[in-house]
Amino acid sequence: MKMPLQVDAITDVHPKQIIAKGEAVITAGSSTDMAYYLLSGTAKGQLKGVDGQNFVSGHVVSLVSFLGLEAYDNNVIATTPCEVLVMPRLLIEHHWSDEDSTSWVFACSMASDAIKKYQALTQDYSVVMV
Amino acid sequence: MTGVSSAIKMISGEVLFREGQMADHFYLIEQGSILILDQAGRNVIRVYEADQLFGLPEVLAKAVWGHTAIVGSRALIKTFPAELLFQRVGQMPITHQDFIQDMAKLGL
Repeated sequence: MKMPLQVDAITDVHPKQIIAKGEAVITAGSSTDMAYYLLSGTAKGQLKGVDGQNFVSGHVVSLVSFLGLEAYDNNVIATTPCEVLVMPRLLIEHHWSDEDSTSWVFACSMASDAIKKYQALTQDYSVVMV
Repeated sequence: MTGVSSAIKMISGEVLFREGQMADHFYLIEQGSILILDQAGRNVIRVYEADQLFGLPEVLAKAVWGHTAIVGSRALIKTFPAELLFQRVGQMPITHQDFIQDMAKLGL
């Protein structure tokens, strides 16, 4: 999924990382204070060693986790050499809100909700009534 | 959006909405918590707490609620009508509208 932002306008002033094939673009547990925008290359999410979502250039890696969580929940591994732009959350929020502030709030809320619903499918329920 | 919202106070155990009802409002919890029950109505599958917004995907999809929601702890809840959501999303730039619709599909 692509962010609804013109990332080109904010790319020049931020550092780029070159990540070798097989290395981590994102490590599970790292803070979502930073977003990782894939300028080139491909990467794949991994949860407990199982392959997940594929990311290609133009994607913010693990965008839903970035929007909805305080820490990334999956490892993401480069499947080819990757050039990654690392952008602070506040910068993205600022640009996003400049375009439409409600969109940012809705996006974060729905991301959080989607993760909750996914987790509910994969975790045990808690019994409240017998 | 506060101009057309309303706030409701509810006590523990009260039903906010029932499975199968039309999702014609979304909600912001200002205080307390809301529990989403499984289809048997016995188990909590999700909890929403203060400052959390919920119900957007269902309202955007003009869907019915898939589960019943009850109040967990005494709650103050702001309710927003579906028309307001459609109006607000319609005012967004097209790229944002598309993104919000894609996010809504993820949340259903």
